[in-house]
Amino acid sequence: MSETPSSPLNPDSPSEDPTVVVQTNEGVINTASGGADGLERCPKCGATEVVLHDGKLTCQFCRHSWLTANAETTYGFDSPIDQLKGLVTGSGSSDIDQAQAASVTIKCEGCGAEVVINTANSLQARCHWCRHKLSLNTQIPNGAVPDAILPFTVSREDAVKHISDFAGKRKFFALKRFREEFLPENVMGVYMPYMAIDGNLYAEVNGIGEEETRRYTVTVGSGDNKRQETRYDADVYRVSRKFDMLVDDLQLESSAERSRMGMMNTNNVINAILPFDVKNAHTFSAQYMVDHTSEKRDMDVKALMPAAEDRFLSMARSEASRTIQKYDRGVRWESEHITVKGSRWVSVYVPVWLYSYYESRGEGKEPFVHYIAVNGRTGKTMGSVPVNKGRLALVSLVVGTIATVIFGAMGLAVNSSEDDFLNGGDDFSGTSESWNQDQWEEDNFPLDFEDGDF
Amino acid sequence: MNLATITLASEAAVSEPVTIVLFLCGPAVGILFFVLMWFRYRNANATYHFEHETAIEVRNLQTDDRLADRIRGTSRSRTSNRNDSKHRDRVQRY
Repeated sequence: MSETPSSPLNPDSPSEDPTVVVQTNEGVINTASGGADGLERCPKCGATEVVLHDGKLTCQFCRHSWLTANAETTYGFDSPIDQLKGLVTGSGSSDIDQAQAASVTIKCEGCGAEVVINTANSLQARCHWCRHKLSLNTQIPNGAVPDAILPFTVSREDAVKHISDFAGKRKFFALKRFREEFLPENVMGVYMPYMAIDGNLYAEVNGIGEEETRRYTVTVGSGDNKRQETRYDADVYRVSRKFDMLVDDLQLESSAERSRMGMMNTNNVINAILPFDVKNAHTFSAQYMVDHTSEKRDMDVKALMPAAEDRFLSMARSEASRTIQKYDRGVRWESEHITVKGSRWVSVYVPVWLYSYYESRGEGKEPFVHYIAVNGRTGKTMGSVPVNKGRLALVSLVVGTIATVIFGAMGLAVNSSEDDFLNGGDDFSGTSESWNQDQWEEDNFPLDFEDGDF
Repeated sequence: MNLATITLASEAAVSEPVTIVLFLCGPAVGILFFVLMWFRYRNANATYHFEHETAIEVRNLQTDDRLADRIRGTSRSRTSNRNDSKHRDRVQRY
């Protein structure tokens, strides 16, 4: 990405205006692909049977394959980040109208029938009368049609292999039912809604850093408590870092369900297969979604802004920490600040192969869903396998018991040798009931001799 | 050496701090094994490392390091509550 040589430090002094984010200029980039709703035809032969093959749209009749244009260059998402001002969004990232229904009815051009597409999980449907595939490409304000789409390049077969390998390495402590019911062939191709965010930012972090100047050993305590301890001298600094920061394509979940992460779900494993090469995303066409489901975006840019700022702050802290090598005793950051001078938000569907397993937790309890996810572009795999806690606890108990025996024996040996050393050994003490000095001399010096023999 | 002598010797040994620590290592290994295996299977801590996996460019870096104090003879080997590697832990925002 081309950038201008430099940009000045934030002209708005944060000390004068403590407001964290100032974004006033709103700009919307029209990303409507121009694709019509209804039948989408092969540009070469006009057939409507198009599949996704090796990451390309392929006509099943004439085998012509093609891709729609690169979204970044087509819509100018590659303009210099340091020139971003205010909030810039693609038209596919516009606010969601809650009154807008998820279901959209379109007219089949093949037979005239009306076909309903449930945009909550698909942007294509097959006409139940004439079997034509119908697509929805219009950006209606319900979050279903994004600015861009990143097609699958990892095949279903490869995804099945990745998932099998992942679960195969986690068999021994897996729940018995999971092992019995594991069918990686049930993997689903899902287009997940994400925001790709560019940020033109200004950051400040302040804290306390310590640099060691001397390390030495002192003797403390007395008597039996006498021991050696290490002491340190250090210089303490007030540390401050201020800088401009350009962030390119931070990726953020734009589905409320997926953005909720914690111990109560396994959404984090989908998060862990990021990042996606969103620079290679294409202008949207529902044809890419053939045979795959999708999850609709249901979060607006405004709702996502706090999460984005949180990540920007984390990035600022990470970058600032690269500049503190001098402080070998570490730094305690105490305050931080971020100003978003400009940001660009692009909604993208990214490809995820998803295997789901519902772990039953008894009657009356919600099942716990375990995911194994494969990045549909890189093959990066992460997942959650339900654990047989009883078996794991039993084996852990055995491991702990063996370790206790080993460490216990070591402890006794250490203690025994210490006693020997302190007491000079059993022989020296002469206090043991079993010790007999005369017998020892007789055993070791059995020769009987008289004075003058030598 | 009779059984009473051995028992007394063992009790004396167990009372030593080093021995106690070594005895506690056993259960700790068991617990550690449980936790490690649980995380290996469940990956509850897996996450997108956006701090390192996103293209970030820093410009116009201004550094300010002012000597504020000198510590003498502390037993602390690290800055207290250091958080320079905990990028996601938020501190006071202004």
